Amino acid sequence: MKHVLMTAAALLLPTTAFAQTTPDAAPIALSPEQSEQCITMMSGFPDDSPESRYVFFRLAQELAKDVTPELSTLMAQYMVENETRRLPADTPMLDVIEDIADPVLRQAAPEQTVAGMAHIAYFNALCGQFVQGQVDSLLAFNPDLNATNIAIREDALYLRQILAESLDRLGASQNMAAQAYALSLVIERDDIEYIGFEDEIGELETLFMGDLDTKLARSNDAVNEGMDVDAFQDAVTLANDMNDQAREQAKGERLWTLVRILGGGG
Amino acid sequence: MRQSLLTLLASSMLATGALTSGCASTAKGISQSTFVAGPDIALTQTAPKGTALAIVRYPAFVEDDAELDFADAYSAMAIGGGSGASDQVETQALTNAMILKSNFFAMSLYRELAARLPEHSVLLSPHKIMKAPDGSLTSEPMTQAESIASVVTVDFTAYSYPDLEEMMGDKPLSFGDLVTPVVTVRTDPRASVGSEGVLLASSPIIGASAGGNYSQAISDATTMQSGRLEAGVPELDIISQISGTPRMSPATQGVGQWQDAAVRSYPIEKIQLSGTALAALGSDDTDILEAPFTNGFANQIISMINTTDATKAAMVRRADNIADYDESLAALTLVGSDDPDYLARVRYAERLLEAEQKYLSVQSLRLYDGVINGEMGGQVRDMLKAEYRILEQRRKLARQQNTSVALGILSAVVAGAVIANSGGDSQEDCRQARMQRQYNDCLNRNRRNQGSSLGEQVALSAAIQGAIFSATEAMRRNKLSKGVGTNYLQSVVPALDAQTEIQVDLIDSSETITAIRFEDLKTKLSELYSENQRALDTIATQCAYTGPNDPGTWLGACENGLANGSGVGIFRNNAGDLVEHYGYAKDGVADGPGYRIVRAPSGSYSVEGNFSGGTANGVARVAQSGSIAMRRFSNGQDMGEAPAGSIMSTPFRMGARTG
Repeated sequence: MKHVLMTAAALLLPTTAFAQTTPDAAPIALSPEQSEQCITMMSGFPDDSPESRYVFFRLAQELAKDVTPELSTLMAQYMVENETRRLPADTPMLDVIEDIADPVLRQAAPEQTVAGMAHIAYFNALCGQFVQGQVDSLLAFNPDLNATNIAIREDALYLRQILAESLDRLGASQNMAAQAYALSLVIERDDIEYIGFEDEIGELETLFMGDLDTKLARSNDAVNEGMDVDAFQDAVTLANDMNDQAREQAKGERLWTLVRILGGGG
Repeated sequence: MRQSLLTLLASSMLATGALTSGCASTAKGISQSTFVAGPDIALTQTAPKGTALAIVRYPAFVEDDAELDFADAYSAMAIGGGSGASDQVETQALTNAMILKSNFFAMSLYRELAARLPEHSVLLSPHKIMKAPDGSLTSEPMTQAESIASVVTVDFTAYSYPDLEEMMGDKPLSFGDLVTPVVTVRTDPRASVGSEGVLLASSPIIGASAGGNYSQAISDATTMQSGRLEAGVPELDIISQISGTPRMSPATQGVGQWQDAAVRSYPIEKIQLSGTALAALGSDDTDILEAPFTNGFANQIISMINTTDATKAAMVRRADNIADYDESLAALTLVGSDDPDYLARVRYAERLLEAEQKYLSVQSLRLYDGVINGEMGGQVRDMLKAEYRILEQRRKLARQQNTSVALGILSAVVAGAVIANSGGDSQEDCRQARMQRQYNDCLNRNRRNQGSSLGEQVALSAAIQGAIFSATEAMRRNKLSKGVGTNYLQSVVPALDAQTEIQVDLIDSSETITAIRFEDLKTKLSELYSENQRALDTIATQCAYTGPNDPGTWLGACENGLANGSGVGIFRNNAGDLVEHYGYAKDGVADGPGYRIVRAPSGSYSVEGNFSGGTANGVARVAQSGSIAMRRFSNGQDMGEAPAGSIMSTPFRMGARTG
C-alpha cells in the first residue's frame, strides 16, 4: 500500500463541493484532542482521488464490523499478556492495515494482528462519526462510489479472516466471542456472494423482462392490426335496420288495429 | 249488442290483467355496489418472497368442443333461478358477450389492484373453459401466472342470465350500462381452513366455491401422499357452479361483518354505470367500473389480504416451485428453519421465485395493454355503447308498454263503472206476463229503461275500445322491445365470435412468447442457482410417517426411514379423512409445534399448537367453520376452552402466539 502524506486540513475538512452537497450531514462532536488524534491516525490515507479516499474510509469501517464488546475484551486479553503488542494510540491506520495484510507478520506474530484489529476497532469507536461524515460527503459528491462497496467488503473480509485465524492460533477457538465472530464472517461471506448472485440475476431479469415486453408489445400490435374493425359496426347497422323494419311493421299493425276496433268492434 | 260488448270487455280485461301481471321492467341497476368506496385501505401485509398478493382470474375463452356443454350448463344452472334458454343462437350470443365482458371488466380490477399494491404483486390469469378428460366441464389457466404463489386469488365474471326473455326483468345482466359481477376471493385451502379457503363469494356460488377448493385440497393432499409436493390450480368458481361440483356449506356472514372462519356473502348486484360516462367511453382512460364497483371491491380485497395468513397461503405452492430448482430444499421450506445453511440456501431459492414473478408480471401488464389499449378494447367500448343504446330503446318501449297497460286498466275500470251504473238489473222478464196488455207495458218499460242508458252505452263502447287498443298496443310494444334485443344479439354473433378469436390470439400469442422465454429464464436461473449453492446438512426426502391406521407419507427431514425434523406428513385418521400435518416429527410421529388440517367431508378444520407422540398436547388453536378458538388438549383429547391469554406454539417462524 502506498503511503501518501496528506495535510490535516485535507483529511478533516470536506472540500467545498462536498460540503455543499451534504447540508444535512450529522455534526461531528469531537474534542480538539480527539480530532487531533483522528487526524494523526488517518495520516497516510490517500488524497489523490475521491475514489481512493472513499475506499480507505469504507475499509476502516468494514474492518471494525461485528467487533462486539466481548470480542474487544478477548482481544485485550492477548494484548495485556503481551503488553508490548499494544499499538500507540496515534499509530496511523494505514500502517496498521498494511501490517495485518503482511503475510510474514501474521504468521510470525498473530498477537500483532490482534493488536492491529483492536486498534482499528478503537479508531472506529473514537472517529466513527467523523469517518461516516467523510463517507457521506464523498458519496454525495459521487454516488457511483457505492459500486466499489462489494470489493471493499471482500477486502475487509479477507483481513477479518486473518483476525479470526490469529485468534484461533492463539488458542481462542473455543471462546464464544471468537466463535460468534467466525460465524459473522460466514454470514458476511454469504452476503457478499449473494450480492454477486443478486447482480447476476438482476441483469438476467432486466434482459428477459425487457425482451419479453418488447416482443409482447409487437405481438399485441400484430394481433390488433389483424382485427376486422368493421365487423361490429356492420352488425350494429344490420340490427338497426331490422329494428327500423320492425317499427314500421308495428306502425302498420297499430293502424290496422284501430280500423278494426273502430269499424268492427261494435 | 249488449252481450257482445260484455264479452269483449271481459276478454279485454283478461288481456289487460295478463299484461298487468307481466308489467315491463325497465332493467335498472344500482349506482353503487355494496362495496362502498371509501378512503383507500393501505396494505399492511408482507408476503413471503416470490409470492404475489393477488391474482385476478376470469373466463377468457370457451374451447370449441366445450361450447355446447357450456351453453347447456350455463342455461341449466342459471344464477337468478329458473333454467332453460329461449333460443340457442341468443344464448350463444349471451355466452360470448359474457366472456368478452369478463375479459374487459376484469382489467378494471387488475388496474385498480396493480395501482394500489406493490409492483409485480398483481397478476392476471385468463382461463379457457374446456372439457376435462372425463368429459366434465372445467377451466384451466391459459398462462403460467398461477404457478406463482399468491395470498389471494380473485375470480371475476361479468354475468348475464342466459335467457334473453328475462333481459328486461330483475335477472342478473351484463349488457349496456348494466354489469353484474359474480366474484370470489379465495386464499389457499391451507389457510383459512374453516371456510375452505373461501374469503368472499357471490351468494349463489359460495357452496360451489368452497366445494371446488375442498376438492383441490384433497387432490393436493393425495398427490403429496404419493410423494410429490404439488399445488394444483382450481377451476374457476363460475365453472364449479354450473358444472355441479359437490357443494360445501361453510358459515357465512355479510360483506361488512367480521366473523372468524366465515365466508363473506356478496349479494348479486346489477351495477348501473353512469350513462354520461358510458357515452364518453374511450375519449380518455377513465375506468367506468371503478367508481361504482372496483374501488370498493379493491378495498375489500386489500383488507382480506391484510388479514390472511400469508405464510400458510403461500407455503405449498412456494415449496412446489422451489422443488423445480432444489428438491432437497422444497419440503423444508414449509415451516422453515433457523439453520444458517438452510437460510443461505433458501434466500437464493426465494430470489429465483421473485425473478419468475417479475417476469410473469410483464405478461400481465401487456395483456392489460392489449385488451384495453388495443383495437379490441375499442371494439368492446363500441359494443358497450351500442348495447346501451339498445337497452335505452328497450327501456323506452317498456315505459310505453307500461303506459299502454295503465291506459288499458283505466279504460277497463271506466267500462266497469258504466256497466255498474247502467241499471242492468232493471230489465223485466216480460214472458212472465199473463195478459197481452201486461206484456206490452212490460216491453215499453224495458224500452224506456234502454232508451235512458244510451249515453252510458256510448261511453261503455268507447271505454271497451280503449281497453282493447291499449292492451294490443302493450303487447305490440313488448314484442317490439324483445325484437330490438333479439335483432342486436343475433346480428352481433359473428362480430362477437371474431372478437373472442382475437382475444384468444392475444392470449395465446402472449403465452407462447412468454413460455419460450420463461423456460429459458428458468434454465438460466437454475444454472445460476447451482453455481452458487452450498451443501445442506439436512435435506428433504420422503419417508414413513405413522398414522393411526395405515402408514402415512412424510416429505421433509428423515432419519432411519422415519420422519425426523421438519416437513409435512399425510395420513388418514380413524374416520378415514385425509390429514395434513405441517411441522415437526420425531421417530415417525408428530412431535413439536405443528399445524394439522383434517379434510372432513362435512367441513375441514385445523389444530395448530404443540404435538407429542403424534397427538395434540397443550394449548392449540382450533379453526373450523364459523369459529376459531383456543383449546386445551391432552393426548389428542380436547379438554375444553383454554384460559384467556394462553400461548400456543406454531411451527411457522413467527414465534409464539397468544389467544
